Amino acid sequence: MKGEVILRVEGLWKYFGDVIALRNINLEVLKGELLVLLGPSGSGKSTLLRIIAGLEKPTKGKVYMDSEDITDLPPYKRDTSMVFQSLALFPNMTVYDNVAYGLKIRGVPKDEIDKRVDEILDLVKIRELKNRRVTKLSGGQRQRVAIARSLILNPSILLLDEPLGALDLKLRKELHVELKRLHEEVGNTWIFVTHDQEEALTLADRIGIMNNGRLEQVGDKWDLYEKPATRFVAEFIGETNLIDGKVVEVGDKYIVVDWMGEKIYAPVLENIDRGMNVSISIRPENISVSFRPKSVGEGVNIYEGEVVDELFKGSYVIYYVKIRNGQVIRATVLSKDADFDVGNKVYIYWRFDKGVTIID
Amino acid sequence: MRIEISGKIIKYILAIYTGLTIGFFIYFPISILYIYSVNNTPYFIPEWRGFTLQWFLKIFERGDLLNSIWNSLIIAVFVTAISMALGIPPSFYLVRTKGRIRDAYFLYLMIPFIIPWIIIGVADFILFWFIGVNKSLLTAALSHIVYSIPLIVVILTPRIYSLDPSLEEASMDLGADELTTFRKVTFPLIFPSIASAAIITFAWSFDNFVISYFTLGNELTWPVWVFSVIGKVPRIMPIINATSVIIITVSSIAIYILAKKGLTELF
Amino acid sequence: MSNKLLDRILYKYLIRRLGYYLGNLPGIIYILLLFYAPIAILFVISLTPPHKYIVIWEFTPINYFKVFTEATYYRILLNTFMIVSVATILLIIVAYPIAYYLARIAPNIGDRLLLFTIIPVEVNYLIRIYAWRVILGENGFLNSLLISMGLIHKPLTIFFYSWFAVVIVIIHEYLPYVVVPFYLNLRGIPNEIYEAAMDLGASKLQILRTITLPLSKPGLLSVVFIVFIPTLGEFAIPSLVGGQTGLMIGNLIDRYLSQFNLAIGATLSFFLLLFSIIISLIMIRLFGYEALYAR
Repeated sequence: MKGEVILRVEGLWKYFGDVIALRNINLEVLKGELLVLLGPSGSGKSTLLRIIAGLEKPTKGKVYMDSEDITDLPPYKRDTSMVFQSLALFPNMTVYDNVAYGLKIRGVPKDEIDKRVDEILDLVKIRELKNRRVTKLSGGQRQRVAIARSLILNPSILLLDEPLGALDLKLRKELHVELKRLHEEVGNTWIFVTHDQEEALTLADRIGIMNNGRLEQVGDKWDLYEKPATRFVAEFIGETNLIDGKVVEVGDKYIVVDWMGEKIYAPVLENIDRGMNVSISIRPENISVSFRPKSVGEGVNIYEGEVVDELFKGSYVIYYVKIRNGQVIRATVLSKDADFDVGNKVYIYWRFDKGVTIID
Repeated sequence: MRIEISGKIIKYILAIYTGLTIGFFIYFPISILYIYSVNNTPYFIPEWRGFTLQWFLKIFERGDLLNSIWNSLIIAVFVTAISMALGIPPSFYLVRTKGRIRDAYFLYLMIPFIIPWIIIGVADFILFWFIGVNKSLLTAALSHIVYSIPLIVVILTPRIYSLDPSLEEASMDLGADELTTFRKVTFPLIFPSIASAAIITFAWSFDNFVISYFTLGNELTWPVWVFSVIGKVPRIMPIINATSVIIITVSSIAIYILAKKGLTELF
Repeated sequence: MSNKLLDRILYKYLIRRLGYYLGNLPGIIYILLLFYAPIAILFVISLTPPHKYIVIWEFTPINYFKVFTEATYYRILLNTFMIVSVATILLIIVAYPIAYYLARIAPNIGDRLLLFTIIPVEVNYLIRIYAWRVILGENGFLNSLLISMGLIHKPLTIFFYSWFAVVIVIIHEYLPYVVVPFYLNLRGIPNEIYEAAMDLGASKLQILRTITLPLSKPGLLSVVFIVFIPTLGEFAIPSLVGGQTGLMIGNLIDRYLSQFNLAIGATLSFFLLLFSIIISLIMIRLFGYEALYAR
């Protein structure tokens, strides 16, 4: 059934010698979803995937699949299949032999193998390449062979480790559409690792953001964008202004934070107290800019400042506004409303609930 | 059915196998040379007769032995110098050109390389007879070069091929002409390869027996001299043996130091 | 166009280009004069009637018929082929597990260990052949060992002055050079390939059979160039340890050249040349030039 937890990772740690690759990872993967693990290189996302595949043993922690502990099972006893970063196609074989490999190893009769290979090659749309050597294929075609080779075994979970890494941008974009379609047609669970934010946003049902061995936040893309749980997430997905300050007052709806001499209102959080250091993330598109001060309601942040730079981006413009405490805030304005010039005195303002309070 | 063999057991079996095989086929006979070089008996019998250094001292009593080593050194130096001069230009040409002429040229250079050495020896034996040249150290050296030119090409081409061409392009873009670029960029980059080509050529020429055997005159090189006395001159084997021990030791240490300093690449 | 510019262009595109091509000329001429021309003379002499001390300038293919019909010749040709084939096959069988161990299980010591096995076999080829007499000879180590173990009572003579000794010494001489191409070849296979096979359900033996061994084929081809073809012309090893059963074509060539019967010597050499080139060309045609490079 869709929506049920198919894979659960509990308290996972991984050391390579003295280097900590994973720190206390807890993750639930839902049946039928496409979960993207997103993070910069060295963040531990590939290690996590390899532990799920069984190619690596965790130092501490457990992996459960359908509530069964699979932590110590070798890869071939797991109902997962991996698509490698290098694709790892067997260069001595044809497309057919690559795709049929898993079935041949399992001793499936020849005519059944033929039938299933044809089906799966139809699914990835490369049936005409069946007898071609894999060394004679283009990047996109190799991609499809690698996925077909894994999918033919009907794994409950397909693991993909940056499989599009080596391809050029245009081809990647074509394959994103193709992968999305494949995932919907096959209907199994996919865990996809990438460092490319755009790829993650295009493909994912849910995204897990990894940084420095930690799983920082898991959620759908809107959650991550609108309610980042950590500074890293706020900065990694989209553009944002990060404001650091100290809580001076805790109200019912908002808190007041001292930001280098300026007051700033931000949403209240549970267990927040006076004197705590917090960060406030405010997206540039949530900030309004005007020549005159607007009437100030309760909990609206408004600052006087000077435009110090502007960046024309086509449909919108980014203004860099320096306010009285010397800090520069970025705000975006649609091009049709962008009447401001460098040197202009302007006011920037936003209601407190447009910001996000982050305790790190 | 899945046959499971513990990875650990395979590791140990392979480690022991590797040790035993290399030990028996490579080090056993070589250690025998070392043992007999200090064994106090002129006969190679499996028996220890006490320690002696007399064989090493007797090397200096054999003028013919020392002379043959000197001849081998002279030939090796000559062969290395000439074949480097003749072998480096085609190495660059073959890497930076494509097409049928290039392939044909490659084959032209490679045929003397892939065939057994004895053919070069016999062919040049007949050549020198045919044109009426007396055989000497020079004729042997000239025959060696037939093999060492392609040897250098085979060592250098893969390394030149793996040079990043953008480095040379960058140099020329910065205003250096081809000659300066070669001197300042290309040559330093392939110097270790050129050095290893020179060392391999030198060692090969020094130790070559078959080609020298057919193309030498009265002056003999070290391997040919050894061949001429093995089993014929009594009580000479331990002296030859002691000499080999010195050569093996010196060359091993020299190659090891050079390889360690990154001056050469052996493979 | 100014004269100066013209000069520059002339200099750059003509003189330098020319210099680039001319650099190849000495080598081409050298190989022509000291290899291809002598081979042509050799071929012509192989067509003259066999005679000691003089060459009779008449032309007949009789030597080639002799070589294939007279037992003294073709027996030794066959013997050469057998010895070399057995040595090559044994070398592959002996060397492959070592290469596998060094490349896959102990890669950190691989380079150094290979260096230490290659260095001692680089020099003193003849005396190392002689050392085997101490191991394989009638009063050698092997016989002493077998007698002390009670397996035999009298020293066996088959180990020395025999084709067996020739094969053993060829293995000694070429073992490191056969390990190297397999080692480099196995190291070139990315780890993810093995992981993918394992992930798809293959056992260690199945991986070896379906992935590792087929991917080692280029190494196998290098071995043809490294061992098979060069040892066809081996001469010192059979002379020193071969005895009667270990005679090879090299001994035959030497015998006729020292009798100054050039016609037969030339015929045998030319036959050996043709045979080597044909095998090489088949290899190159089938698998490309790469196989050459591991030598």
